Amino acid sequence: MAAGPRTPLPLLLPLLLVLLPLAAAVYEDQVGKFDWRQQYVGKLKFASLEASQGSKKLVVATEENVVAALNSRSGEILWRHVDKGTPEGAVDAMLIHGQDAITVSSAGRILRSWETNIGGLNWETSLDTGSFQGAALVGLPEAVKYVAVLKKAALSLHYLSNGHQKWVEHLPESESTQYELLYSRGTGVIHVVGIVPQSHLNVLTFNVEDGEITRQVRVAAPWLGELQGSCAVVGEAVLVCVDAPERSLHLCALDTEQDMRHIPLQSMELEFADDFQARILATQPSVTSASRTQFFLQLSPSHFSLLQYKQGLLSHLRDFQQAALVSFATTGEKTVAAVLTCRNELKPGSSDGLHAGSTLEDARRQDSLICSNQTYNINLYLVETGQRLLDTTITFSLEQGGAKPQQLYIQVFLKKDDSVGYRALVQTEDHMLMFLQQPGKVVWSREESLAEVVSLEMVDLPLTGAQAELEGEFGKKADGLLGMFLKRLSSQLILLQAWTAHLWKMFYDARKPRSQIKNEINIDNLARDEFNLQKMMVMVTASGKLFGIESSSGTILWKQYLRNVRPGSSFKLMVQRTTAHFPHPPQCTLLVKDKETKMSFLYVFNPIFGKRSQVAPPVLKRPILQTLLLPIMDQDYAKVLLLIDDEYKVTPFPATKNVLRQLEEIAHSIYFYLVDAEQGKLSGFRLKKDLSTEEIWEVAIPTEVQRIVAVKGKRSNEHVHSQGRVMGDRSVLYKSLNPNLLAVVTESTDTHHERTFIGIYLMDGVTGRIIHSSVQKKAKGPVHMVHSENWVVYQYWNTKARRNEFTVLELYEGTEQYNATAFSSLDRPILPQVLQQSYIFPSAISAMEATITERGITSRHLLIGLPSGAILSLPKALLDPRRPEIPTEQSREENLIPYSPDVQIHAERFINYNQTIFRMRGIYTAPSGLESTCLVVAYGLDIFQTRVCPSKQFDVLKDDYDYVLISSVLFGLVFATMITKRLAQPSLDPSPPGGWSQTPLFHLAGRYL
Amino acid sequence: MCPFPHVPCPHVPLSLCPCVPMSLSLSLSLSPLPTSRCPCPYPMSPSLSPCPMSLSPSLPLSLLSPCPLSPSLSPCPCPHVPVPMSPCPHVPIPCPCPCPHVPVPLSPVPLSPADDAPRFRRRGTLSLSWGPEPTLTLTQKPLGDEERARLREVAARDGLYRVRVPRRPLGPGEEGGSEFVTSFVRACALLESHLSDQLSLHLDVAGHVVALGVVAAPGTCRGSAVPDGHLELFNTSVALRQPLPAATPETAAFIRHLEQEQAQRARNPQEQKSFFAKYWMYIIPIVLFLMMSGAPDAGGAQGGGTGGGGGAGVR
Repeated sequence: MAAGPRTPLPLLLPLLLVLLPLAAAVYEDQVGKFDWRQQYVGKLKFASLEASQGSKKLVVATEENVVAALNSRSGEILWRHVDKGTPEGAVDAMLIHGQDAITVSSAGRILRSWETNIGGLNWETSLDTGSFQGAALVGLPEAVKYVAVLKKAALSLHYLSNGHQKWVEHLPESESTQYELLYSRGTGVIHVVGIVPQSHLNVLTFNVEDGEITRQVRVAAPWLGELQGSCAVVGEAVLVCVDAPERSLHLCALDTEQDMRHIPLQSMELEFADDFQARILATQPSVTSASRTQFFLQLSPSHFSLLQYKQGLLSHLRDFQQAALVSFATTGEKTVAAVLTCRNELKPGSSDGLHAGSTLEDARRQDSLICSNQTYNINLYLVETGQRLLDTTITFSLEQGGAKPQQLYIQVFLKKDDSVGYRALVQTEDHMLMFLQQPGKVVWSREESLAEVVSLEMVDLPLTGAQAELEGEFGKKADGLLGMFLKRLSSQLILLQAWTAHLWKMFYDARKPRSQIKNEINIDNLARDEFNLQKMMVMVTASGKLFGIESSSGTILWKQYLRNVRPGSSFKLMVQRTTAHFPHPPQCTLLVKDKETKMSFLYVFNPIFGKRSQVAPPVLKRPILQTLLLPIMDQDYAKVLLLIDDEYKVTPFPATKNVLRQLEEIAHSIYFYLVDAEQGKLSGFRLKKDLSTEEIWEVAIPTEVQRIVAVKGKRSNEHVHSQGRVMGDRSVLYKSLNPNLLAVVTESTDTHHERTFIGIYLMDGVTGRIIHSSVQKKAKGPVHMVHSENWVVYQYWNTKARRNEFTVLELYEGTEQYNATAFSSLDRPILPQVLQQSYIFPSAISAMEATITERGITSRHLLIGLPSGAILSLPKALLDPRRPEIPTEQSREENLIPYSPDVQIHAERFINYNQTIFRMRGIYTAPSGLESTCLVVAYGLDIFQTRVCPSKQFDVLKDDYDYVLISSVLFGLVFATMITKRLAQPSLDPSPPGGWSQTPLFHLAGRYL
Repeated sequence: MCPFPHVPCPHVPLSLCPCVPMSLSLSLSLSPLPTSRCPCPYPMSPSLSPCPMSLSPSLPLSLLSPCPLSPSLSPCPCPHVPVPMSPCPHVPIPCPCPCPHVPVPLSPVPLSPADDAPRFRRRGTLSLSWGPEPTLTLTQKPLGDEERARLREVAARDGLYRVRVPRRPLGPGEEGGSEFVTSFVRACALLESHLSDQLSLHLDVAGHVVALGVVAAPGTCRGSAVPDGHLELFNTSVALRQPLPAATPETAAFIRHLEQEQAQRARNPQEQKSFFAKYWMYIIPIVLFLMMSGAPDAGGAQGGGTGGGGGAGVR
């Protein structure tokens, strides 16, 4: 080996050594064993249900910019296409024609046609720019051949077969007129209706063949403010508009007439609700024929009327009080109206037309339908007559206190006996999809709010009853020696019983094939496993719905909808009491802050069962700026939560006397910081005994140069096992482990690619002292950052080199510790040494997090979510500022990898093999009971859960460990020892003095081994 | 000799006195300081040009004096003017008119009683001078008797000693300011360190004041008694901290390193030989030895199996 240090082998050796543990991939039979993925589509924007009994799919387009087909029997996704998450990818319209789905996306920029059976793209064309107004299929008398796209200033016609443009026509007076309505009925013309608010309507008639404007009419309508909603086309191209203040309808035949006819509705005893924009809902079963002459008029949020306009006569068919949603559906020649009403036991008559005066009063009083018992009926009515179809009621119930139905889609089909059957797709406010069948069976349901997880915590499961019994023994005070002894006996008996039951189950299961064993998990048999690998995931979604999901299988065990959460609120989830304090239930607190009013409220619940806690949270009268979870506990073992409002007053929760006394004692050592990104101000406060605060430091980052984009502290549950790193010369480089350290990232306001920069400030959150500040020049965000132990890793876009880069900062105290016994931010006069290094990363990043383990012994990996949907597990050792440019003897001793400026993506480091996660927004890591294992949840449009072992599974035997072999060898050896002992005995007898007698035996045993 | 003759120096009201009245800053009264009079103890130096050549490292000594500039010569209190598009792009500092002296009054000593807001008093002046090497100098006055007593009082209560500077450097004659950056240290630590502390002023890339840091050294509170004689003069070290450039990927060095290695390998063709080619002279004897020693070992094991204790001879 003395051949010289220049050989490439020693150079590569450390690299190979480091790469060795990375070869841990998933075997084929391990797929889905530790991991699961759930795919979602998001809240529905458009949905189409085929009108035949045998159809198997629903085509949907969603707010998450997804076009997908769902299996209508099971609710599974048949295929799914995910567009960009930005408004650029938004689906503006979806039209169904036979087996094709036509979508318009990117604000009317792209027209696509999908084959709905397999999800293939038929064709795609890009359209001219211009704000999108509407799209419609255009039918000729014999067939549907074209799709018309209406833009602000132009109308274009495209072939359905290949997307080619047939013609494009400029719309006259498009500066002042908003063209919004497109209508055709197979007569060879297209009507376009535009509005000049409070003035008139422009009705244009185009010839389908050459795009020539054959007719242009100006219809005076000074009372009309908007077209969408308040106008619709019924029958033979008759435009119907509602004028709520005048309590009347206005009609105009688009083909012939030039004025609107005014029809007052007073005679029909239709009551318009005040301050409600009345709406008209019409239906056109096929674009090659005229619309139905019947239409719904919505008079108030819960009051609909079915009207008919036929041969110049307006008639009132039926009134629907207390209706939440209405919808039309057509099969063959029959068109039906579906009406979703609240099933009210006390007033069953509300849906059959006979309404008492009190119901009317109710309808007027309440703004929208309030259904106290959350039970709803769907009924079908024949549109021609308004008659209810017999045996068409679907009754379903939603959770008490839950969300209301928001959208209704109906799939109608004719049964063999020519009667009408149907299925209904209902979407509720909490983004739950339910597919219902007569007479009220829920075929499947999907929780689409899980496509927008915003916050996540993992909570340990509770102990089993037996374990809890044993634990409880220690909690109580002794009641005599004998009593304690008996108690111990009884609890041990229970343990024995549980163990035998467990053995029996194992024996019983062992005889069955593996695939049949199903461990049904439900809320009753939830218990912690021996390695604490199974946890409860508490997820908060943007719609305000909370979920409790069991982590090993992904089963939703509980869900809770918070009604008073408005969209766009921000959430903060905190675990106040874990499951470790047995008789007391675990307790989670969710802080919800409204985006507009800035007002906050607390929701306290049990994370295992999802029940709202009995503890009354404080009423927050002022907006909350900051929360602080203190390590001190009240007598019920709930950690104290401090809420700081915008007057810098502190509200503790729980606020018992015990807590207040403790707070008073340690008030002088409670510090917190506030960040005002708008003013670029960071300030620190100290708690005073009377729970008021005083400002103690202030740091100003001038907003004219840079703005704060992220402030990140360390995770409070993080353990760091080693205080330092042993260097090549056997000295120790001590880490600077400041638990109060904050990493502040700023971005420059100047976005010119030469002058843009990213600023990094490391500051102490208690003293406000800036420990380190650096500027990454010619860099811009979005910045992803991980802050842990003594290091910060951040990723940014280098505008000069046009690539993604990582920079790692590590803080060391040096070879001597300032105060090895205790840490205090107030007493750290020496600034730490900051080491830094940068690397090129070949991909952008959508989320980043570091693994975390119970004791912090296992080496750390960075989990990097890539836009491709993969999660890369990158060893932290590759992002180590001490990587030497030229390896030396000492760096080799330390196992440092020689520096190379690029970090490569190896596919075998993907922890989710082919289970891609679309639009990943975050990765959450949690320690398990095993030191080697870290639990990982990635969330975005999909949710993926798995375990990772950064240093391999050093503390568990592998799955394929050969127990039979090892035990047979062991038993064999024991027997062999016994036999040889017997064999050896007579030959050594009579023996020399005792010390010698054992020696030959060792030799023999050694040989057998 | 002005480097930017076309750039007018930032406007400063000429009527105001540019200097900090030393006698007034000593006073501990909380009343607003009179600014009308100008009891400037230092002689004005009227010979200075409005834009002194401060880019050269040798600064005129008078510039560093606390009251250097004559009011009639329009001093340049400019470091707070962020001029990203500097007319002279080669000048790394943001101010087109590098002004060597900007008084930044340190208004410290809150020593507040427990009940009310801190009352700051002037402790000294931080002067920030721009140049190729920006420097920070501090002039401060000794601690008065009353202040010392309050410091002791606050230290006994484990209170805080706070320091602040205005976010924008003050022009001559300006007093106070409205926006400050604040920092603190435990009063007892300052006391027990015999008034030795370290001040650091953090600037951002454009030269704005971002933060002030104060640390007492040593920073522990042991409760030891400190005689009054040790509590007169501050023993302060000041440091100016600007953001350091962050690391960038060292591609050039890496490629150079690779090339060097390759060149070395090309020069030394022996290095490229394979493992066996290089070490065959060691490997063959070892293999031979193993083969030779293997045969009798097998024989010995057989013998051991039959002959009981006979195996003891084989090691």
